[in-house]
Amino acid sequence: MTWLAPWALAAGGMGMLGVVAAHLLSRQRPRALALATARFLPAGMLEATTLQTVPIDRWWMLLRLCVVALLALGVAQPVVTGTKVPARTVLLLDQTLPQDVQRAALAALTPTDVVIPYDTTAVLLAAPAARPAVSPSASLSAALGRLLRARDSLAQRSITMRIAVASRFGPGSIDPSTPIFRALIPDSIVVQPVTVAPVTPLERGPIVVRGIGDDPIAATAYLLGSSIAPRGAVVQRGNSLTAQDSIAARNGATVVWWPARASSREPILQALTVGSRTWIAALERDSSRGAGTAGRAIGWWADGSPAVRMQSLGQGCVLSLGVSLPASGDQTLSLGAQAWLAALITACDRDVSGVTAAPAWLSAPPRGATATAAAPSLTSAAAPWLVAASLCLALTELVLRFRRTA
Amino acid sequence: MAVPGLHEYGALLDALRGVRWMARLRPRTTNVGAHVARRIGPNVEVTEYRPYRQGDDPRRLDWKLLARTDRAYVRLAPDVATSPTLVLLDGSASMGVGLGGESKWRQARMLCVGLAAVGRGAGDPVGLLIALGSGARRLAPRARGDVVREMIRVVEDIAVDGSPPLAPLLEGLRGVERLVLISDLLGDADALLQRGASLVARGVEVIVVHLVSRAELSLGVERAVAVDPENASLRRPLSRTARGAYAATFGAFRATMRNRWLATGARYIEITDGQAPAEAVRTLVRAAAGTGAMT
Repeated sequence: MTWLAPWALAAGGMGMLGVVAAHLLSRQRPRALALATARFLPAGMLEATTLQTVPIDRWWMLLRLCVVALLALGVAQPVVTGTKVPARTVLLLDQTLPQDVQRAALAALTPTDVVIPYDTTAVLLAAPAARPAVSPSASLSAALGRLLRARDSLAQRSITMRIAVASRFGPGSIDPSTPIFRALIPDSIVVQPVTVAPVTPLERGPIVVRGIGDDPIAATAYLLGSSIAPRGAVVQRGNSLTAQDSIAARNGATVVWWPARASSREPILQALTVGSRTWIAALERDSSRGAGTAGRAIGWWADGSPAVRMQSLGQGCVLSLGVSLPASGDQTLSLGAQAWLAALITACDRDVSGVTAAPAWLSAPPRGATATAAAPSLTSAAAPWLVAASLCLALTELVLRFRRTA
Repeated sequence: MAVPGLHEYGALLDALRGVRWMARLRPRTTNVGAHVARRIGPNVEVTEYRPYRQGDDPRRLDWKLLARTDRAYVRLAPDVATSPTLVLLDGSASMGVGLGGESKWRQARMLCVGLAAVGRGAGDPVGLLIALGSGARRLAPRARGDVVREMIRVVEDIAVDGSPPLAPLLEGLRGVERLVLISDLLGDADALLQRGASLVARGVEVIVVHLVSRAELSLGVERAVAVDPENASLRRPLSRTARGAYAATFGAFRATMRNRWLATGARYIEITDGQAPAEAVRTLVRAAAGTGAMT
């Protein structure tokens, strides 16, 4: 149940307090008595007002409280909404935004709101979904398509619905299908302002491999040299990230968290794609990390399951890999492995590039379209009955008082 | 035809049987009655003789004395006459409404009928004048045998109302030797006093019966708003603290009324509604025949 005019409840509460206060103030009015010699009585106060600790005329007070309460309930216009949510915000969240920006956008939501996070695909809330290894930027078409499919069910479960988009609208966000999807959605869309630190030219730095001493990745990093990583790169092969890794990421470095775990079984030949680079080698999936859902997937196995996830941190990012290398072999020294690692380390470049304004056609609803479920006009069926009951009780009091005094 | 309320007065009339209400002032009427008349006239009871003077009625000559002594004398004796009595009854609302009003109005009716019965017993014409808000009700003084019964019918038929002035009713009053005013004196007291004094000066015997209710004398109500039945806008708080001032003011009013009426030469009697009607009538008759005031 919800109230169309909740202020009336507060006003009714104040009125009821007033009634109780009035009954605590005893206005003693003695009975009138005809007395022929009344003129010989001294003149004085005919009524006296005293403060009582217990309300007087409690039945009358109860009746008046009922009158005020029913009137307030009637004016407040109760509406039974069932499982409907009074107001719901559907936020289309660009996952390529920095984490602090995403957190700020999510902080303004209520538990009943819905988030459609998207990059190259879109999901409702936190539902896992496979992501194709295409289009590395955040495509708004994916979010609008998901919204289009979920819009009717969301509108049925809410009284008013507000659609908002938090995106940087970078290159690749708007594709030719985006206006087509937008035209199919009859609602207005609010574009939340997103502030991203301006892009500055990044320095190149060395690739630092931490963790174990004799690591095959260290040799690959050495072969790549210091011209690949923007502001440097750290490959943490330990079981956990360190404070130094975090500081490096905040300063713009790319931190690759790639725990070095020995394969428990014979690795098989698999393809691992990051961006446009695919590394085909005898690899093993590390289920302890590859199935994680934190961050945006930027690398996939051949079957589409995520293998690399990226989380923005400060000016840099943290890449989590769920890949185990074989204990022996030189496949990490191949040119394909080097190119793949280079693509992996430069994945953060794409996340801080390109901030443009939202197109005008995105906000306004398409011409001729009507929002079917947004802000429907609600009426309370119980309101007139409540007001009528209040008036009946008030009339009853008048009749009773008239009969009492007659 | 049965007179309504006659049974209520039966005991009173029985108790007043034989009570004589002698006029304090000699009446000037010529009708033969029970009171010593103001004029001296021929009567069987000779009090003195005087020589016949020219102009005397020859019928008043004592012919036997003239025959024996050859002197012409006239027989002189005090005459007896009736004393027409008018009872003026205050029929304002204050006489019968409110605290003690019912018993006060009942006592007023009893006094009215009792005095009429006593007066009628002496052969005096008795009349009734009732001041009502809707107009005065009059019964001219008559000596008929059913005048008391008619008076009972009248007083039982009316209801007190309004705030009628009493003084105008006394204008042009003629042929009345005794006037009994039964009132609580809460109306036009000053005008009534002035008119009463005028009547006293004219030789009318004025008897003022100030009727007071016991409830008015001692207010027993804890908390109330007293409303004047004749003036609804007059509202006063009635509380324990106000009783002292009330008793003093009301007592001063009664004393003032008593002194002012006595100063006019009228008789003033204060009667309460608690007194037995027959006893109250006897007290009133004694006071009327005597001097001064009685309470």
